Amino acid sequence: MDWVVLGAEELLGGEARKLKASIEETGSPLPAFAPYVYRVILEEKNADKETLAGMLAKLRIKELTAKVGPNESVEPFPAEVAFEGRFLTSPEKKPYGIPYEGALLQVFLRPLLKQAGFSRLSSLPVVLLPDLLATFEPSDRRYHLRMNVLGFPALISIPGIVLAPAKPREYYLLKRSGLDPAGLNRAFKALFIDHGDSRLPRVVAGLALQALAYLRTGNAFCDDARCSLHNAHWHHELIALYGPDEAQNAGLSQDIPLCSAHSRMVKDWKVTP
Amino acid sequence: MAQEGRLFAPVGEKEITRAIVNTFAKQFVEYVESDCIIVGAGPSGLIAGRDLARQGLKTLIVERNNYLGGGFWIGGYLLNKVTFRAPGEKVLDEIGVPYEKAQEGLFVADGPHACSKLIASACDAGVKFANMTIFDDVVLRDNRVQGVVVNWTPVRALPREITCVDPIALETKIVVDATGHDALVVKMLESKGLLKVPGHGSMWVEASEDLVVEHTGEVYPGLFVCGMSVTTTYGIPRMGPTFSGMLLSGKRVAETILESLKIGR
Ligand SMILES: [Zn+2]
Repeated sequence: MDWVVLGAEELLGGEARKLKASIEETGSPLPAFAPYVYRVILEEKNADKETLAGMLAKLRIKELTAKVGPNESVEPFPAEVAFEGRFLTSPEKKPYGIPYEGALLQVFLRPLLKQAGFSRLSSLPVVLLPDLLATFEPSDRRYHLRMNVLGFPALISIPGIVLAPAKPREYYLLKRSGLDPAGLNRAFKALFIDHGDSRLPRVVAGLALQALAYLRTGNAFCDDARCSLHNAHWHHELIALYGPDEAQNAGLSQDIPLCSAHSRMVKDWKVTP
Repeated sequence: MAQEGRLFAPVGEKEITRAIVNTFAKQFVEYVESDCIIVGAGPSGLIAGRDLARQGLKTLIVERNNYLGGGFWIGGYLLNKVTFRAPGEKVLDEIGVPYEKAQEGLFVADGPHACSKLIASACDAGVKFANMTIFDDVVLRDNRVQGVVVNWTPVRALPREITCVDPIALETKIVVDATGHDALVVKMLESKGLLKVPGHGSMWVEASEDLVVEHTGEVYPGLFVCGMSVTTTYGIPRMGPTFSGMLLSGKRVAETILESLKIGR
């Protein structure tokens, strides 16, 4: 079975090769890299730019604490549609900060990707996005930012890796006191994975393997906190997994940490398609 | 002319009063009809006004305080240094504000210097101001915003029994909502059922200030938004003081307005 990562070149730039190298180290089948999801969809000419931009604009979440999701019957503002349209094929330039309804985005993308030749049985798509994703959490009845959304297609939010896992509590306390975010981020640099961090491609690789595990086995999460398939909620968990930033700068490791069971599993994927 | 032995010219109280009332009335009558009314004299409104007036548009800025400049006098933690991310420093060059480079892509200026220069540059460009004036309502005609209804700010503080102080209307081609997080003009259209504005705009997610600039523009025929009112209008996460974003949003709204007037007429 093939799998495809969409948007790696656009969103990780030169770092996309690190993503490939990291996955190669695990011994799992290597994914093919395809262009960014909306480029692929537009190439298929099944949808026009305006319709795609209009749908995306409808999936914006404007209040994370809202008890209901975005209302698709509400017409978005022309400025919102124009904004989506401007960045549809240049995700690397899209400013982040707006959360999109992850589950609805998945439902929206599914038929479009099927028309573009992807399926659950062959060429499984993992979609990298420049957008924040949020899904509804029934336990506290509100939306939460996510690093990824599992399923077909699997979605990974690049800014979500920076913003969804929790930072140390002091960070939020100081932020609420009105400290300049840029200065605050510099002060907490060692305690979270920020934009441009050398570990980002490895975190993406870990999430991609998690997505693949879910699609193949229906079970994505690992209890072992030293495994990339562990469902990390904190930045300190990610840092414990992927090591300090400097190690990567020195080129010491491209390693994706996996527990022995999951290490065996990804190697088996190669021999038993 | 000062007479010998006297420091000041011998002008009486009544002459002073006449001078004030006559010049005010003359300008007020002239600006009962204008090309553009900007509500809010913060950094985005001021720079937008400057750019529009420089292109020859008859521009009036309505401000509820007696002072102009909004939050531009001070930066974070009440410290009077204001920071700008590149390319915001180019706007400072334009209006002649000195600044220092704090690090690559980050610049710092004195709040009082930056704010006073910005106000002066708007005045020099020909912008007129109605300060101590509150926005009360919009003038709507043919599904288009065609003016604003205003009143004196102190009227708000009057006891209930004397609230029958009626406001007056000013007509214009374009209204800009530069009222900050309040988005007063947009909210007024919402109260009339003409727009739907999301929640109460209290989403605190870290966001790129580019979002404000990228969503700056026309939100209803004749009504444009710039500055922080953009975040409230579109439900974009709230952000702290981002003066580069405010200045660039103000410049963007001016460009968009000039474009729309050229196309529209
Ligand atoms: Zn595991």
